Amino acid sequence: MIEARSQCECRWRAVDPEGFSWLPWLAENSLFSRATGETHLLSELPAFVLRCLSEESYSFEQVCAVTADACETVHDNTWRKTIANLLSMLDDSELAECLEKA
Amino acid sequence: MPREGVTLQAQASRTANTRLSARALRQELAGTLFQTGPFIVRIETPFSELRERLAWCYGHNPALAPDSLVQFQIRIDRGSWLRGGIAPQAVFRFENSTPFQPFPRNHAFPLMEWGLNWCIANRAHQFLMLHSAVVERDGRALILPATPGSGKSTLAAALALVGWRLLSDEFGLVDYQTGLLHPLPRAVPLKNASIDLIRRFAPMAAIGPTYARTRKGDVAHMQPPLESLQRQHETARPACIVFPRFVRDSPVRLKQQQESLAFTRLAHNSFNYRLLGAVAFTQLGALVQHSRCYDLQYGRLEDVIPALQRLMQSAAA
Repeated sequence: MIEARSQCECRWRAVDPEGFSWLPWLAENSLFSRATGETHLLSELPAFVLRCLSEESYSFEQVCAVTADACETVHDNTWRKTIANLLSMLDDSELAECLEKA
Repeated sequence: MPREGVTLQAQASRTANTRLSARALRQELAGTLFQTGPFIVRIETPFSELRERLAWCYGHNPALAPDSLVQFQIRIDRGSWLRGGIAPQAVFRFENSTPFQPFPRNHAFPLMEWGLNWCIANRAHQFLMLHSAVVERDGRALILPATPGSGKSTLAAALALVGWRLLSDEFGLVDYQTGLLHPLPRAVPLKNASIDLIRRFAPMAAIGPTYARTRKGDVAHMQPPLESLQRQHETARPACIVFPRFVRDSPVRLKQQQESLAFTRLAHNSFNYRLLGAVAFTQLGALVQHSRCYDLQYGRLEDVIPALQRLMQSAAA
């Protein structure tokens, strides 16, 4: 379902990015979310995506493109599935949300 | 005459009893006042044996004025009079509440110690409170965070007995303005096999009576070292964070711990991380970034102590 939602025309953005506190470690990032009071440990890719979504909203295809470019990988269906799962995880953690296009 | 003699003796005995009772009552009303690190505690109790144990444990603390501002006012009371003759009980009272089930009267001291821990964990939010032992040497603090049963109190007691300064066996009190650690020198509760382990390790260690079959098994308390009490206002700068785990007969295994993992473990191991939120996140991050982090497995005190001494020396270099 998330894949379907991801691939529709909705826009992804971070939830309350002003309330994020970041702690970068060697290969991971600790993140505190003021909105939920939760602390998360994010590996590089979800941290990168969340930083992007904290700047502006992205469509699913834009997220796939920007991450594929950063990871120097092919923007194919396998990659789309990886990103769909990643966005689903961020959504479940209440760190990102999908806004339906008005 | 004999009757009068008996009467006089009885009167004298009654007078003596009355004097004794009045003295006991005065002691009970005055309570036992002592300072442990940043906190002043007053314990009121009708149990003379508890007052004696408190004097044994905290009698060397610096004297306090009777009108000192008390943070934790605790009363260890008698339980129901119905049980008094058969199985007398001790009840912990704090701010008009009774947070725990009564203990047997002869376990009043461990009840008081655990109850005071509970008070601190629930109230002292001016600090980020880590569930950890803390010891210090040459101005650098070694933080030993661990879950119950991992041997942190035993290790902290042993280190204190070979010259490290004991800040606490239970609380890492982090000042979130300065990042420094505040001491909280208290009796160290040794449990089950650790009691004999420490007695064998340091036969001269001042260890009190064993309280058998408490909720945490057999418990005996090691007196806080005099130096720890005398320097209880002297903070220490964190240098190393070591997560200890006792495994019988294991050789010392000291492995560097990823900072991200150390941070997560410390956050989970804190009494008030969630309550403090962003402040705790920032301070804990700084603590980990400025410390070296290790995972430790050990089976013998004789082996682990030199390893920790070498570790702290290398951290200083």
